[in-house]
Amino acid sequence: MNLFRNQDFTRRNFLTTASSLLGVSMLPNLGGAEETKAGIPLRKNPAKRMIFLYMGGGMTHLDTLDTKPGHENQGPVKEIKTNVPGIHLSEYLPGLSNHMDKMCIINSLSSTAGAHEQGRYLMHTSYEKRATIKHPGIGAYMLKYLGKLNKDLPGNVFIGGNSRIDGGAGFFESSFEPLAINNPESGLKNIRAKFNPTDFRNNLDLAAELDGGFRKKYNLKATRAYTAMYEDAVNLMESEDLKAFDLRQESEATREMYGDDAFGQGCLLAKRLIEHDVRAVEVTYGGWDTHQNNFISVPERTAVLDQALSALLADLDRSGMLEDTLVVLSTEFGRTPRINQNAGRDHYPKAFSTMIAGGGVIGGQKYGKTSAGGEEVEENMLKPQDFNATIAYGVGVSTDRIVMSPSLRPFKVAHKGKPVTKLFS
Amino acid sequence: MKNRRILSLAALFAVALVVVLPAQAETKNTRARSKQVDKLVNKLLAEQKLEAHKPISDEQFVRRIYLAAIGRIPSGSEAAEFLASKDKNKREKLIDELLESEGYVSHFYNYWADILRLNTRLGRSGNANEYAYKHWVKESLRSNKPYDQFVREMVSATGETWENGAAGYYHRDRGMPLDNMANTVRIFLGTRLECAQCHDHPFDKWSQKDFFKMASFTYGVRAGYNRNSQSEVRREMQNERRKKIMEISQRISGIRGFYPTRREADIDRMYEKDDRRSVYRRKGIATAEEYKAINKKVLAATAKYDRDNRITSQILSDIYNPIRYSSLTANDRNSKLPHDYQYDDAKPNDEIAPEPMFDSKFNADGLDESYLDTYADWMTSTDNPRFAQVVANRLWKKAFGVGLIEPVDQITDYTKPYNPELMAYLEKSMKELNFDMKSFLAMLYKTEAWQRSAHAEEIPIGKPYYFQGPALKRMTAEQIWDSLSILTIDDPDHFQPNLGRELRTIDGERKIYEELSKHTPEQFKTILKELTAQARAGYAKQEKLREKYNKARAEEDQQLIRELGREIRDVQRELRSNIAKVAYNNVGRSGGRSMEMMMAGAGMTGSGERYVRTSLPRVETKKMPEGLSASQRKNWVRQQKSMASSWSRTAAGMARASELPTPAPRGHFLREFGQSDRELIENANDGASVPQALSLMNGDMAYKLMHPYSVLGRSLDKCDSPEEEIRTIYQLMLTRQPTKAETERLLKVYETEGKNARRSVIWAMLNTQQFIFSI
Repeated sequence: MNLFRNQDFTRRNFLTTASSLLGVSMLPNLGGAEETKAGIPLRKNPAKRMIFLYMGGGMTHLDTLDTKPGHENQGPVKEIKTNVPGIHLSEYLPGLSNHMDKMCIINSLSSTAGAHEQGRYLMHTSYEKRATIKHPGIGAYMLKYLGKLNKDLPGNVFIGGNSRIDGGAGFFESSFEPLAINNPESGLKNIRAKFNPTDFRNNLDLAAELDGGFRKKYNLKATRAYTAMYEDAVNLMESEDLKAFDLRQESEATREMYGDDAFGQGCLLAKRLIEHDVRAVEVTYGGWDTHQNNFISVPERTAVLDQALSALLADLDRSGMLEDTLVVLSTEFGRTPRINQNAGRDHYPKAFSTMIAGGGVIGGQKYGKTSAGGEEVEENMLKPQDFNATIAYGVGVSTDRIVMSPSLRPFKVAHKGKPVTKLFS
Repeated sequence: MKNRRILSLAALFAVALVVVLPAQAETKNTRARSKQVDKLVNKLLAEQKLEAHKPISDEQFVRRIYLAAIGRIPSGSEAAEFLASKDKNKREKLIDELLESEGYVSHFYNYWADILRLNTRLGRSGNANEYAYKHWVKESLRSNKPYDQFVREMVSATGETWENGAAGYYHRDRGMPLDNMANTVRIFLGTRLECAQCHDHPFDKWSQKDFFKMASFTYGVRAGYNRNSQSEVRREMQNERRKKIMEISQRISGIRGFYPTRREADIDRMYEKDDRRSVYRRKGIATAEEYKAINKKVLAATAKYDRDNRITSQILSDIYNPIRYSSLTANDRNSKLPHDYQYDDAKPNDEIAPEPMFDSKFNADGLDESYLDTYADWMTSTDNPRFAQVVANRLWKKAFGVGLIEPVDQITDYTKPYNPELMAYLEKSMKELNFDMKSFLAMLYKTEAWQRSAHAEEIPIGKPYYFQGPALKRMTAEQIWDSLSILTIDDPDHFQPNLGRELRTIDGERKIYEELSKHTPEQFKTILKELTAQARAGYAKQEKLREKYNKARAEEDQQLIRELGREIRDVQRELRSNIAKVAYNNVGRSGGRSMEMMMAGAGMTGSGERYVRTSLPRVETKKMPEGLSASQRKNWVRQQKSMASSWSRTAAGMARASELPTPAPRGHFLREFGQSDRELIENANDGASVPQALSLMNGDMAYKLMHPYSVLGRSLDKCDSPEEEIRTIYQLMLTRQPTKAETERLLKVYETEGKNARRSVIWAMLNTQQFIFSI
């Protein structure tokens, strides 16, 4: 599909007025005046795409990526060996233990945002949640600075059931808002016509004809945008690229490999979208808020995460896509190392863990270290801003470049964060 | 009216502030005011050598005024009634009537909710604060509360949610008093102050200190239930246990005053430091190792009491959780400058006394009112140079599509309105009308200027516009939705399917609060003890189950793992539900109060008798066609039944946007058409995006419209000819007669498609721009 028939005059109008394709702009920020001055040079071969997996509710670090065998804080969870000698993971992540060589685990995240909403916002945007502004997420920055890879598809997609999306377009034009998909199985909403193709065409023509007088009289940007919007919508309905959204194109075996659940299938959809050159896809998976019965709830969560992420890494690795796709595992905070009276763990922003893989990340390493009981960061502390700067660096988004909000306030992709460049080869 | 649930609302709710009711004579006087507005518009047009657009027809007028005043297109009968009337003053009468109707409340609620970021889906403590806020805003509109009072009640709000919904204004920005101040100044004074939150404003005169002077007015506003008496009980219980722990640890350690610590790192620190305090705390124990060993023994012996303390704390917070934020209090408390304050006029962390941004004569020492009241009075005073101007400009923009000042909320000392004389007159009128918003709107709608054709040329952003006519606008998401609503269900303006649930949520908090207030400290102590004992037993039970669970995991017995997991969670659930039972008798969930009482409780008094419906009237069932066989008849009845039941679900979902949870969930029709996410001030958006086209073309809206039970479907079923159907579709969807050419074109569709023609025509009409643009 080509949304822009080149000779078509409406295209220009469309671009300058509506920028409407699925709410995502087609053009990068061409007028960006502020360029990187000094600071961190951009990566030579950054990852082109990003899959951002977000564990909503706050993923326990001790029972997943930062085990403390023998310490009373650890509770009943044991650790297992991985395919990298000397590096261990929780017994809850047997699948990922075979992919340790691809992953860089970061054990030294530390934040001060201990409530869900604030933590989620901070981890997505690098700024504190305010009631006066909304900050863009890294995916939106990728589109703003780097443009799209596939002009026909939205550049930024969000998969998950959350009602609120943090790290969307923020103060950027609404066209940078991610396309949101609630259910990966159903794909794009309202994409199939309810008429046969001939009737559909005829009725479209009928609408245009009935509207002819109106459109002529009120020939304005706003109305032309609506004319263009219909053309784009019809093109999309007929597009070859639509199959990126269709999980039925995958074999049963592949679908099973990712897991028969919304998160697993969401990861598979993310992989398909990335294959079709969508820039950034976020898949969220909630339920990590294990205040009670941590050791019953966590293994249920990890079973899903372990299967889906293992499948995703294996799949991307096999196809060679892992080389230029950065995979991120993020969460709002960790959980109290000390087990509470409800056999649960509470919110713990002081020390927690995340993971990056692919896109040139040097795998098989753990970065940063917490104390014997997992309470304090002892080495290489990273603030959420530093972690996000590292992601931004990984995908070639300048961490020094300043962008102005419509209220003329200056912002950067990761606020004052500094990337850890040595995590990349 | 037979099927309607009629609720007459007596004025049970006393408003604390004296209401200055706009005199009826004042409303009538708006005729002279409309003339003056016209004079000022025309004067500038003449100066600019521009011609005003032509007056609109009655057909255009009726559609426009319905959309403007009550946020939806007129129904077929509403339009017909107006068009048939021979009354010379019928336009003025309709304007007054619509502004008095419940549709006005719905529409202007959407308008204010976008400005106030009113979100009934925040998900915090059951959303009672948000529901109360919503109904307070709606009631304020319904009773035509003067705008200055409306604002004063919000910015000076304190109290319990169920008594004062206006407190929702502060609850919205809980924990962010500085942001709240920036928002307030932007909304009500049209001035951007948020830059000055962190540094002197780079493009305006405001300093960071100015910001903190303003911030001090509201810095002491806090959400949270005052539970001092309960804290005392807790403290007492904890002291008792602490004493026990002291006794035991002294006995076991043999050292006077020994108190165990749970953090071994503290012990190491104690031995690293050599100050007096550390020496004292070491109490003659030679090494850290020795200390740790003693500590461990003591911990084991006192574990029970320590654990009970933690359990009690948790229970206490669980008890108060449902009403944790339902109270708003305000103390006079100065804000402090940030630690990195960089200017010479004050030092970092300095306390700053309150001072309003536009008043040089103000003196904080002489305050005889609270900070909050002083601030509210200053804010809403007619002497405040921006207060009346901002709302006058906002409402002008609401009517004409473009403000006299743009943007409406970035006003500086240098701002020049497009028509300064008119702006001054509107501001003056706002004050003279005592901030009566309905009269002000009536004044605008009754002008010739407003009743002219929409501007058919581009109005470039930032260029002055002289108002040859109102601007052409795509309808708001809510206007489109509500227009589809009137095409689908009967009388949507009074249909509030979620009202009962919302009021019960608010009322539930009140009941919990009242129930908890009944306990004496002694009773409360007994309750806490009982719950603590229950919890202890529950935890013990869980502990045993967990052992089994871990064993099952080791043996990979998947079924047993699931079963035990469920059992453990059940224990937890039971403990939790016990809390509600023991502490407040489960009152939060029980019903008991009538709708009328709850409405009165939520301050919904209304002026005169009003009614709401929580269910839709039954749709007349179709007549069975004649000449059916017995089995065909049975089939027909079954079909009708299933259609009716599926329709009732669909129809309930078509309630007006103001009656649905807002913002609508992501992906909902309303959100796709740009309903605000209520995260930022005026975040609604009327731009085109592909999902809108997909939704109109391929979504279920066309099917709802043509459903045999929908308003449109039923009207069409009464038609005898294709011509009549075409006419009906035009009247109902576009509020006009089809032209001859249009009729001929559509008759061709009927010729070729026969029975299917209707759905093609409705589909096509739904996908026209005429339908979604408000001319």
